[in-house]
Amino acid sequence: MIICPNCHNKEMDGALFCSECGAQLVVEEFSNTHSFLNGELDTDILSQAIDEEQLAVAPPVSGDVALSLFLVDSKKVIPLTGRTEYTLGRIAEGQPILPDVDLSSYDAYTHGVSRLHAAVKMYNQRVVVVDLGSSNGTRVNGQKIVPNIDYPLNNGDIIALGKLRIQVLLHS
Amino acid sequence: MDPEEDHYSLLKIGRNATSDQIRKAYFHAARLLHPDTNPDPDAAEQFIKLQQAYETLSDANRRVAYDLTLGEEETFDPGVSVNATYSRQELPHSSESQLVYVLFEVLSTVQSNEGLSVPLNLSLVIDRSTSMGGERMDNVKQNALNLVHQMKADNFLSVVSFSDRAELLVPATRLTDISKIESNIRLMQPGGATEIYQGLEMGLSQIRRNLNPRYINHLIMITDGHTYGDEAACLDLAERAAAEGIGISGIGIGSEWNDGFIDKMVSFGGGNSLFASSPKDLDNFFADKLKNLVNVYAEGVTWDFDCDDEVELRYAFRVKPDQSPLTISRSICLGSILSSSGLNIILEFVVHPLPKRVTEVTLAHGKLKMNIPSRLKSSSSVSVNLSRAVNDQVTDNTTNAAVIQALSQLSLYRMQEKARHEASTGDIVRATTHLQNLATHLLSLDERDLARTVLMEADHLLKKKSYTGEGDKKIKYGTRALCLLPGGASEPA
Repeated sequence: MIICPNCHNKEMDGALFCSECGAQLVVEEFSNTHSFLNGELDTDILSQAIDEEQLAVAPPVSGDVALSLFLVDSKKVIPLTGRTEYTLGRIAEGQPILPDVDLSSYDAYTHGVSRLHAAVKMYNQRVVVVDLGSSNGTRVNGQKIVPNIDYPLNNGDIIALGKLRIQVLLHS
Repeated sequence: MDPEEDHYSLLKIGRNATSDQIRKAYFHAARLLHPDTNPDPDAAEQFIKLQQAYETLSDANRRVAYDLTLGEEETFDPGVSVNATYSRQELPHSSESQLVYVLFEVLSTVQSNEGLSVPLNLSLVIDRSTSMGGERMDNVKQNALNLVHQMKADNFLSVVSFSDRAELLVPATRLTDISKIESNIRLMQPGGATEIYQGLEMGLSQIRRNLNPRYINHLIMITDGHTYGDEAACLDLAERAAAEGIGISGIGIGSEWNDGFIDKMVSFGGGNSLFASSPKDLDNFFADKLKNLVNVYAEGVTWDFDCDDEVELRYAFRVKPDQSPLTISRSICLGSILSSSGLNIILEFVVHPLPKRVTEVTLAHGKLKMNIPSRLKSSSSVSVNLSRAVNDQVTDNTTNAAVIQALSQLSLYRMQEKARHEASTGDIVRATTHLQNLATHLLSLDERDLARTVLMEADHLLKKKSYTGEGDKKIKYGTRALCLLPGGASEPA
């Protein structure tokens, strides 16, 4: 049984598309790597634990998918390497749990990003996004996704945290 | 030995079948033919033959000896090749039902440039009921005239017009005296009701005069109305025509015609139906139709098959050379193979929970039969086996990109089917939701016009509880056209 991440409709195992809302339920084989040349990497916004030096030498975990986030409006790339799960959000005063990736320098507040908005996870050669119960919701390619359910991502997908648009870039 | 009677064809398997496949095929056939379950006396005779076949083929030594007696059939070249792409490499043992998609392709093995232009034996059957008056009639006439000019002189053509009775405008003739044919077509006048049976019957009888397996025998029906009371009779005629090797395709104009009925009528012979919502559509369809007909390599491609007990074929759709859903039965007419491009079908199989000991599931095994007009021996067949390995643990979870691509468009067509079904049963809310979802996907595909149509229909449906006149057909044929695989034969004119 597969539960559609978009509308919670139940589909048989092996289904490729949700028959209710048409959402794609499977991930394609990664056939080609896209090289991305657009400005230098801005690493400041990565959570303070990772410093620039480490990042430059940190090789992608072998056998896993390397992932970067491209902020569509500010044209900045955030590489995510070394871990299999990242929470996205913005840091505000007096916040007990901090997100791994702070988006506050990208007008996150005015775009309606919650403090803990969404998480991106990598496992089994797959990348998924899950909304963490944000106020303004998360969209994948324009389709609003249901909170707390993994939604598969493909290279080039646009996720929107509130109104902040981020493109997903995968390098196999 | 009669090729139809050899042990392999009796079991519907290929010469190279494994002993496991032979055993499966035998058990399956035996269950259907066993005298306990099948009272037909023919079945008893078949059952005895089946026993003999299995006794021979299940013993490796006897099978080798038997194979030697078969002789030249061994080197029979079917003239086509078959490819299958599966959505999954292997299936897990599961306590639930699961789905497998197969992208199935039949290709001509003959190079297309061998000058195998097959003559046409065509009949044009035109609705001339009152509603066809004015611009529609002028348009159809113009297209019929264009067709006459494009056809070769050695082709046969007949033109029939019908209302509540049929008239023979042009009796089946070779295209030698074009001016006479032209003036007869121009004489057609609108008037009367629509009775498709009348026109269909006369059109078919004109084709039968020159019926020949060396020709492409085809009828094109153009209508704009509902036919009343004679649907069953029409379907009967169409089914018989398909058995004789006559294909039928339908073109609907306007909002009144019954697309469900026309779909059914053309499905027997593997034809397709089209919806002309504008004069330009009609021009394109005629041009495409003729181009496809003269390009036909094999026609009447029919798939006779059996499935394992746990397997069920739930949906079948042709994506190339034209787009059409297929009627599910144990013998499906798939359509035609063009010399320039193959015949592509998407199949959806449901696999119910399998017994634990099973290591392979046969989705379908059987034979493709077809008529290849350009060949000396025109009837041909090739065996087709679709199967998947079954394991406790499945390691490879990736899905073939080509299958996803094909399915993504088809899922939109099926969403439209669903919405239409719900609207007809009165579930307006769900139908509207489905249309809105459909529009979202269409927008992401950059199909703005179609998306706008769908949204307008959703709005209308919510307010008026029904589709607008042409809306349901526009959406149906619009989403259907999206299912064309990239690199298809009929690029837009």
